Amino acid sequence: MAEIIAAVTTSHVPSIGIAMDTGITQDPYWKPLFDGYLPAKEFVKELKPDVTIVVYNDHGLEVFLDRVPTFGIGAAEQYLSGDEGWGPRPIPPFQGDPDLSWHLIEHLVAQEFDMTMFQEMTVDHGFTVPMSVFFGGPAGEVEEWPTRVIPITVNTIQFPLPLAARCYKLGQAIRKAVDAYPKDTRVLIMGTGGMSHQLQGERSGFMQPNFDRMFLDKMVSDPMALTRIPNGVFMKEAGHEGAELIMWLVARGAMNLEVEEVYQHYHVSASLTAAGLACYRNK
Amino acid sequence: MGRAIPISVAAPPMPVWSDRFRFCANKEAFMSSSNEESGSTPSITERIEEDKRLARSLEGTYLFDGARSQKNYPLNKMCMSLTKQENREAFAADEAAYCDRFGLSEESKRLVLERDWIGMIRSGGNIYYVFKLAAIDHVSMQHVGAQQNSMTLEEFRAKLNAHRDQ
Repeated sequence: MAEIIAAVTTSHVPSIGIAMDTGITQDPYWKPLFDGYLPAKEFVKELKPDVTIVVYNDHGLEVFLDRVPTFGIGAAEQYLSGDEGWGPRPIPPFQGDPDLSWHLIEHLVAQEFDMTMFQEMTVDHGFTVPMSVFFGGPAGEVEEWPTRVIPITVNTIQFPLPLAARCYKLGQAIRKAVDAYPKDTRVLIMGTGGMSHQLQGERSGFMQPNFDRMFLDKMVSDPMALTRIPNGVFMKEAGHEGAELIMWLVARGAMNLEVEEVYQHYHVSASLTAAGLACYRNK
Repeated sequence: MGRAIPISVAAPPMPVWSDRFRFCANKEAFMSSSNEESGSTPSITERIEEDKRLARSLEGTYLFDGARSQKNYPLNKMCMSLTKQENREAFAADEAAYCDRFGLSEESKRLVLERDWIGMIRSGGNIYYVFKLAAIDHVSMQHVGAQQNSMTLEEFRAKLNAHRDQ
């Protein structure tokens, strides 16, 4: 039988990817962030997931404003790093798991989550940076990804965004779907984005560590409270782009109500973003 | 495995987000209401309007809702096209003519040619699409942020670093 063995969450800032790809992770600006990632890499290495479900938002690679799926899922054999405007990242291709993808699609739709299905898709920094953070070496280097992947996309760009509660329920539905998968499969779920940051407008550069710390605390102690935060409130407290935090709740929803936080790291800032990372195990 | 950086800051008191919506006031309610005396919960319309009102009240923030998404669709579409190398080359060869192909207004074209980031955002540009234009110039998000704030890069970086003390 398949099972979700853990959840991990992290910010997915493009410049974190650029730092890894250009070999400057030990520069004074980046060193504290990358040093903070090391225990998370160890945690994931020991988990040896067969499949990693990566919950992220497309930032204008596969999705333009002409058609915006609120929730999407990949069902491809392979996913390549795409060209977001500054060329693809120099990383190996990701191997998919179409069999599990279609199982998830069937079980999610049966639970009334009407996913948009992608049989061809490239993935952007929202997907690739977290993968490098958790599965790459100390400087993010990767020869071959040690896990198959399934991308799940959430619209966090075109308002209205799905509600935090809906994201949490999607996680619960993913959990049920994985539990019903007959093949022995160890599944890691990864929630990405956030934490507080704003990129647009005169308010760009806004961050709020107090909110982020509250969010990190409640991810463990009271995730249901987080599901009641309206998206306008996320924008106020975490910034217009910080509303991405709803994607952490997809990962959280796939876990037990009681979890143990194995590791946490918080760093201000990676470029304009308060960078948070956490690892959770079921209790 | 312990935390590398223990959280030394105590969790902040439970914030009250607005008159109507409260955070964590009632575990049963999806979003609890300030109308606790009457026990009523806001209607869907009220929830949507309250959410938008809050988002639109944030200074220096441009809620990217449907109206804004429609406002300067050609600008975002032009920027989206820059995810292809051949389009980046065509843009670089003649920026104004390339903008014309996507039907940008004269004003939007001026904003693009002048790399007026805050102007593009105000006119309906979405930061993620507009940033593809910045990438062509090898300009970082910090540069874009500084210009939006009418700050030098050094001033903007100081603003970012100031959050470390919070």
